[in-house]
Amino acid sequence: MPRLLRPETLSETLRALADGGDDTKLVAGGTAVMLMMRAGLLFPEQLVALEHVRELDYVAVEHDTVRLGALTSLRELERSAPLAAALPTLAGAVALVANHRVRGRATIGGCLCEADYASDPPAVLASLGARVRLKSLRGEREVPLTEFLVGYYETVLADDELLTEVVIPRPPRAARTTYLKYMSRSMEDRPCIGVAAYVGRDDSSRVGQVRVAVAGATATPFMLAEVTSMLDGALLEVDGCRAVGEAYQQAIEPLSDVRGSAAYKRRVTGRLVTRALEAALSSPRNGAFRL
Amino acid sequence: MTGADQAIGGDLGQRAGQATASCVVNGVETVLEGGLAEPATGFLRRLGLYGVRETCSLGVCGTCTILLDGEPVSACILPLYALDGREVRTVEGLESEGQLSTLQRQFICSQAFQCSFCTPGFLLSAQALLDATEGPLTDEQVVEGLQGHLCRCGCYESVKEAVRAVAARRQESDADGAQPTTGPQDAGRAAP
Amino acid sequence: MTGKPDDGRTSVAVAAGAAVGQSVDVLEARSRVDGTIDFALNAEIPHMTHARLARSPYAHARILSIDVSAAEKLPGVVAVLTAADFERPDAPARHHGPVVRDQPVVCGTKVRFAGDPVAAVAAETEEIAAAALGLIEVVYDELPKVTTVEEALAGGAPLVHDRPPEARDRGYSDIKLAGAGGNICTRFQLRRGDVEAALAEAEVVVDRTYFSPAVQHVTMEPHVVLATYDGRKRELTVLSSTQGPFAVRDALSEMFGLPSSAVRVVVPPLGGGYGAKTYAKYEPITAALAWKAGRPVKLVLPRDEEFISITKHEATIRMRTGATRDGRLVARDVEVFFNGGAYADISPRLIKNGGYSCVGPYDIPHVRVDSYAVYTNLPPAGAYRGYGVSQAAWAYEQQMDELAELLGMDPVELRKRNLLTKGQDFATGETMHEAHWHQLLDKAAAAVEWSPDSKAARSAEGRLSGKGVAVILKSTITPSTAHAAVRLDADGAMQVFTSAVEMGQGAHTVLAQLAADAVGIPVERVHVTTPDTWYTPYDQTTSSSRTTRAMGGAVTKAARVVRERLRHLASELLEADSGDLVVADGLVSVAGVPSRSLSVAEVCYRTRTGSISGDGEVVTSGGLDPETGQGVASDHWHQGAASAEVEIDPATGKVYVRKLYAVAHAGRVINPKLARLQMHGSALFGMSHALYEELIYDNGVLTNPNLSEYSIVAMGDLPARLEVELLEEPGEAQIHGLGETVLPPVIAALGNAVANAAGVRVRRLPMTPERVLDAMEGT
Repeated sequence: MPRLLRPETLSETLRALADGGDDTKLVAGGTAVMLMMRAGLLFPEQLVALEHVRELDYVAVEHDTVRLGALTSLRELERSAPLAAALPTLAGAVALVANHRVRGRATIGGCLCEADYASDPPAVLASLGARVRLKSLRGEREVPLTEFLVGYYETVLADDELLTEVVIPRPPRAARTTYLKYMSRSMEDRPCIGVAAYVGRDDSSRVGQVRVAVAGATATPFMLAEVTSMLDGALLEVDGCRAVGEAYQQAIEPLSDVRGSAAYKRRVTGRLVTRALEAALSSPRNGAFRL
Repeated sequence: MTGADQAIGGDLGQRAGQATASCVVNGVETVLEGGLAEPATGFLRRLGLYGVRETCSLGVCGTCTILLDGEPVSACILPLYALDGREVRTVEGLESEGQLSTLQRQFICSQAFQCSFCTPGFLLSAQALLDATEGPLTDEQVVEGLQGHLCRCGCYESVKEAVRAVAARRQESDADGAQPTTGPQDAGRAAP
Repeated sequence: MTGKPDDGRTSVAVAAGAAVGQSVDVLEARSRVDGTIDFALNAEIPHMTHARLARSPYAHARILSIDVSAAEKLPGVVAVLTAADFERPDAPARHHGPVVRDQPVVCGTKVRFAGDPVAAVAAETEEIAAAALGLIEVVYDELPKVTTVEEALAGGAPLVHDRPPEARDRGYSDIKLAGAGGNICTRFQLRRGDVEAALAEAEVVVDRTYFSPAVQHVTMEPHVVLATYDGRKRELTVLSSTQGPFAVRDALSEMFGLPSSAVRVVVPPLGGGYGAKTYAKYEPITAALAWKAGRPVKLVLPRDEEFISITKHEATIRMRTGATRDGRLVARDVEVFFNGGAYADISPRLIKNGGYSCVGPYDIPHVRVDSYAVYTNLPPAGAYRGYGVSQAAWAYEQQMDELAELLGMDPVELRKRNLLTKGQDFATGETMHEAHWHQLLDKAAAAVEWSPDSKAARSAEGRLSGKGVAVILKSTITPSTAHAAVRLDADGAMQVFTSAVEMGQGAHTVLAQLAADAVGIPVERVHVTTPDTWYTPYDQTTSSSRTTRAMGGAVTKAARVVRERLRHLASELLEADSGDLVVADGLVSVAGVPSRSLSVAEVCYRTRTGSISGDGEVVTSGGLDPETGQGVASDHWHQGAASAEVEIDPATGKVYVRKLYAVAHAGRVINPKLARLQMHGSALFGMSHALYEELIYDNGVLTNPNLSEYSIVAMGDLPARLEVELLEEPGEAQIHGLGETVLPPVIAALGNAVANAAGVRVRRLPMTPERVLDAMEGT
């Protein structure tokens, strides 16, 4: 049985991490850590429980950015009216994660640090161009989420670092976002494929930046910047959506799991990317949808 | 898992400036005993609260649901230390003064269970849903509120009926005085 | 009515009454909503230890050595059981099995599936027992393995059992062991007419193969056993979450060489069974560990081990059906391969039922069925709600639609031309005394507004929609024996002594209702005992949808004996002939003269009667000839139908169920709200099997042994409309069990609806989006 530390401030936490070394494990909501400990996959000597670090529990909707304290629970995010107004697709996607009990405990920081491939929020945040702030006694750095997530259950977080904040640039008013969560079995399953689409738009019908991130198929959210960047400034129409979908289908190399074979996930990815872009363009509202 | 070096009292108590860590379980101040990172299910069952039943051990099935400060959580993946200073409600805490709650009575009336192994979890999440809302509930609201509760006997329709019946009645009268209703639960029956 | 002669042992007909036919609340309802119901999971006794099992990581391997010395030295470990312990002269037998003794309590020479137990640890806590597992060193020599039927039956295939296993001394009379050899455990065959000739002459023949995967029961309560062995008295007491207290008693008494009176099996309410808890499962290993430890041992099976405890048989069914141009079935030829896994369990019976059931509720003059139980290196398969019939119905009800398509005929009409009618013979030669299939099919078709030109349609969102129907028959365990006793106490309260297991199906409630009406007392005064083989009368099993009819009949007869005795006692007091007395609502009164009445309590007090007892039984008979499969397969037949409406997303292949309808012949419904739940449960099991569930093995190792990787139906998956209906008969009617009847047709109806919507057929369950898409796009 590990020792337990329960810091109350960020600086106490960073001190504990600096002193703890690699046998120290951070626990936020505990939903992932408890599973790993119960499965015998994790034997930390010391647990640092973060639930009393209140200063990292916030949703700040500002003029240009939305900042989420790392210890904000998914349940708080889904219930936050300012977040729903500013980033409806993120708020909606978070509400589709697991079940209300898990969302009540799981935190957004914990979710990103777990780096599970079959998880909804990382893809949605990646499509929104989110960055994460990492702090340690050595200093602090801000990293794009797409660079923070590097492999299956793997991030660039150092042993002495804490993810403190998620920073999301606010999309222009006319931008469209959508998240399609496709479950190949029960509606309570994790995603077989999730597609998060962001279509930057100004008030003319020209599209700005387009970003599409796919969850559930690859180690980290799958994005094809070189494909979507070609759309910048172009008129995005049905053919364009289909072309992007086809490009994703060509390029993605999905894993096989109980929710679908690699070949199936590849096929469905292309179609759902197309559908998500079409939905982003045609749907009257931004949001997250179950399929 | 109660070896001295693993006991929960020391570390937690010192932090809070108390001798022991504790929580309020169904209204009773209770000292936490057990390994600090052990799942809360073991501790609660040792208190004789057998309505807390672990079965998937993953937080997926909802059977071990408890209310932590009123919010449903899965006790099987809740570390014991997380109970410190909090208020815990289990199915045993739903009744008051020996009287079943309206929801419990409606579960019987609507026959919202068969084997009933999963029932405590359904009751607690449904109670949390009722506490967080007002007036009647739609089918969709109940499904959303009870997501993550598995019933292998397949009593979902009756559970929905029961929760919606309680929600529908709470406007009409003081909830505690409301009587369970017999819903449309009779199967269609036909003579040849 | 079966129309069979009443030899005093047959079931009884009952009419609706004060309790029967009413939606009374379940017995002990309060304990089910306040958390206090006493599941085996809660059982604790002084000096109890906790068990965990060491299991093989390999699907097939020779055991070279087992070293448990380090585990035994771990503080808190009380005992470690291995095969070596069974060499002691006083040791119990190391093998068990309900039909053949092929299953080792712990493996000695080799392991036959990934998960086969090699040792068991008893310790002061479950955590210590779990820690000790890591200290057990087993050296294996991996062997070539067979995991599919195809591999197992290939020439030169590795043998799962090197020698043919020994049959039990006193087996079940309906099970004939035949055809064993190689990896074939047993074979069942049915022969009627001349199939080859009939197929050669048939104007149309459909020949297809249908596949159902292994799935798991996923009872929310795992298997729990608490065993105590008293070496001084040579007595074994076992508290177990079993569906078959007497089957467990008999297995343990044979294994330990004890008289059955020295083995006591007590069964608290179960948190679900669905077949997973029939016959001895974890009782032998827990009891042997208790014998070794000299202390009580409790085993609670962890969820991942539940997934390898027992499964539904994977089945591959090749079916050929011949018909005339105008849609008359003339012949059916079927080969059924059930993957039985490493041990026989109850496969020899299940493959029989699953075999003849392939004929379906149809009049087919020429039939040949060969049904095999095949050993493989997978976890054993056993009883599962539907008992081989859902696999059979998946095949034959899809084939009926395929045949209809070939004939250009409405599939409902094709069925109607061939459904069995009352008085016709089934393929086994037995006469169908009841036949409700026409009515059931009509109702199912009407529920989805079926019309002969029902064609697939496309919704506004671009989804494809379709409808399907299916109709089935299901046998019940035959022969079977149920005994019951009833005791009316002097205060007017009544005890029903039964070994029927309450597992959520409401058995105890309906037995109380039947007993109450048969005597004439309020149902609130009836108490039903917990099964305890020391005290409650023999019952064969709580399975096969038999309890309400068989045990209900036994209880009714026992209660009627009590009523007769009560009337006899009261006749002198009321100065009337006992034949003129009626008992109702706890009062004995002279018919037509309600003022001349006495309460039960008064009758007992004034006659110095302490209690009035009676007993009753229902014993059915039957059996099939091992060469021809002719005889009586089932005492009576469960009859059901289902229909479904689905939509398919053509981009993903995902099936969305819009409506499910299921109907069963009930004869007499005892408790409508409980009956409805049995129907809902069966329908949702069917939907879950049709669309989601599959145990996936890699190299013989199960890859999805948890409820995240293994998906079952949840509340959010319910069809927008889930409707069930029960057919009843007027007056006094026979009870038909409802526990399983509509599970098989729901799977098949969904299959037919998917084929109707997609325009192509998926013959492999579950109908995952991937399989649907592959079929639609021809990849």
